[in-house]
Amino acid sequence: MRSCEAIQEEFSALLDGELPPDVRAEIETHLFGCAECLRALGGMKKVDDLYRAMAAVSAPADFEARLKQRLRPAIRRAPARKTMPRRLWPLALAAGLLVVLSFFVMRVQAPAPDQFQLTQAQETFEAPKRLLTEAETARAPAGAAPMAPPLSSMDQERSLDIALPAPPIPELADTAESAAAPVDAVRPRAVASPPAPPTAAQIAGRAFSLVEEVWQEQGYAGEPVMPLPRDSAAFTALCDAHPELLQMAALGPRVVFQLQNIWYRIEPAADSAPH
Amino acid sequence: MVLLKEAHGRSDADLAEQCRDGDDAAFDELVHRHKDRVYRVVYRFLGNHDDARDVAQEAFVRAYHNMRSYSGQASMATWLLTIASNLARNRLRDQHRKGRDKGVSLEALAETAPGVPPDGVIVHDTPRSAAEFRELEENLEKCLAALPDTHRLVFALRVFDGLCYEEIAECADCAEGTVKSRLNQARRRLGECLRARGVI
Repeated sequence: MRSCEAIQEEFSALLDGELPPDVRAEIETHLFGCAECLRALGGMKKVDDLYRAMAAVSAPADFEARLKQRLRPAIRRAPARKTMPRRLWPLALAAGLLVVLSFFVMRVQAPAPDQFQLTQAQETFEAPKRLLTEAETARAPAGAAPMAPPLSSMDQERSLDIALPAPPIPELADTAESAAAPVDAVRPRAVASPPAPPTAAQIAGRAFSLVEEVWQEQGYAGEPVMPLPRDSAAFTALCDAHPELLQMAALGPRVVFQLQNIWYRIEPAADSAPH
Repeated sequence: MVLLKEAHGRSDADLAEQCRDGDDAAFDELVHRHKDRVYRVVYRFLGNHDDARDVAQEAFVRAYHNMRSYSGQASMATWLLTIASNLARNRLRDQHRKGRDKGVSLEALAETAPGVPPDGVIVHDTPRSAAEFRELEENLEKCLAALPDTHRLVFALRVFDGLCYEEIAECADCAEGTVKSRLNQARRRLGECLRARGVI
């Protein structure tokens, strides 16, 4: 036999129809003989009725238009998704892998840097066969001249500039020279671009991927996050309790991860965070 | 328009699948279907229209960008309300941190001229005079605003949207037993508050 207080604990669930049949029967039996509980239940029902009868609220008339405006940049990108049906993803993945493999094979077979730069220039520019002038030859570093192919005057200059060991820093270069010719125009980048930075990582058995400059733990679906600046006491405390957080924090300036059903985002220290 | 019409009659799960394939008309239909209930719950939880609009919009933006993570296990409404509830709780937490109390907005709302509802509010056709109705609404809103955030959220999800305890537990990120006890406490406190104001 439950007390009135215990019975009243069930009133809310009774009103919502969320009680198991046996408990409901027990409450109803109690209510037949208890005026106080009956009054309390009536009061609770009155509260519900008043709130349910409140003025109806609906989204403002311009809600959808405003939302479209907010989503416009994303929607503009949508056709790109349409052009790649999901059945073609394996093909795209295979093509990507092929490109990456080719890159590594090329790197393994590539000649020494100086040699690579010169032969690359030769293949690229397809210059008419002419001998280098003595003055231009003199500008080339020792050992580079004999390997230099015959090039056009412009290409010679480009090729030789590539081979120069220490190009001047643009800001510190001779002003007359740098003003006359843009740095990029006379010093083309003949060296292969560096490998792309990683976009996926595993830490303590948890998978992370880089999405729009934020490292996100697998499973994150845009839920709200608890900001965790690196200079906060909370961050320090969490790192003490979970040392693997330090590894996660090393992934990048912003890292989203889950801990005890809460999503956190490690952020730059409050002082250094860009605004 | 033609696409929107075509989207009618399709289930939320179908529309979600079409969204994932880049069909923006399907997403428009989802917004059309669920915007009012999302807005209603968020408004009753936050207590002012500016924040409710921001949060409800942000919820749909998040949903758009994360449609791939919608598994279809929960209903679309519950999924959207979960996102919106989380955003709304974060909004309140930020406001508390900045010292901005939600009561300010409710007071501003109370200053609205009788009979002139703020944007998004439709006043019931009622025999009461506009002033009486407004006074009652103010009292109900003030008592609701006085509840702890956690209690107000479960109350809003139950009373203004009719979610079951299991769905509320998902949205509010707590156990069903917690939902039950918070709802009971919320109703008791609201009763006490309304009695103190002479409403009941």
